[in-house]
Amino acid sequence: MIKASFILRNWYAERVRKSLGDKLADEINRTADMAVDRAQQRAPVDTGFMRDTMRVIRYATPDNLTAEWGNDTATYTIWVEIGSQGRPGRYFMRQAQQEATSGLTGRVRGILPR
Amino acid sequence: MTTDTTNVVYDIAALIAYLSQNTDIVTDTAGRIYGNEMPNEQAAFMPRGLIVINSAGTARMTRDRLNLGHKIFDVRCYHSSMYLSSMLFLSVAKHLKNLQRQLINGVLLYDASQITGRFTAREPDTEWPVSYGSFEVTISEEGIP
Repeated sequence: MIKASFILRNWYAERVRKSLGDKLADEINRTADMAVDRAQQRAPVDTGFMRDTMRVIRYATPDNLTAEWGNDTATYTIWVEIGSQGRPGRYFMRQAQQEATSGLTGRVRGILPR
Repeated sequence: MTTDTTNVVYDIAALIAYLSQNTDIVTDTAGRIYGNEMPNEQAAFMPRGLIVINSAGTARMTRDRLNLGHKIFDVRCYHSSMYLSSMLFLSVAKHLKNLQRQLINGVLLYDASQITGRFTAREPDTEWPVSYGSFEVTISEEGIP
């Protein structure tokens, strides 16, 4: 198929994206680190293994502004979080996520040029 | 001193009543839909169709509209196999997502959306198949006469 098209690219827009992308990724990564800290503070402790293995699983990059945090080592973490028969959920991860992300939109807005 | 419960609503009871409107869910669970925890007398007969709804906090810390709160509820669907627990959960999720503004026993249910994916596994200790998910429900915090 013959396509009639233009490629529209602007070096300055690319530079702005790159510089903002770095700052936005930093902010999201700082928030993910904060969530891990908060979760570790709130985590119920028996041996400490679950608390100590909480981590940022994937950091955001300028091209992909998504971070992931949690625990991919202690497989029972999900049951501590949501509970199971006879063991009420502790909701410590959700509380940590809520605390850490509170105000994130405002912080991101602060990065944007005025 | 006694606690003043005038006009206080039990939101989980309203959700149980709402789920109980769906004949497929009621048939599949034989009406076993509970709030907070599974009654001890049910545990002896598990695993079979049964739903437990838990309150899991507030979704948004912003000022709520009038007397409506945005609350998170965890829904746990048990059944005799992981497949059946998934199917029960899907029915529940569909019914909740179809929720339209309505008054049930003086509680206004406004809308509901699923905020986590479905998680199906066998519970530790008991090995009962369970499907789990969280929903954000906009619901009145005071009774409506």
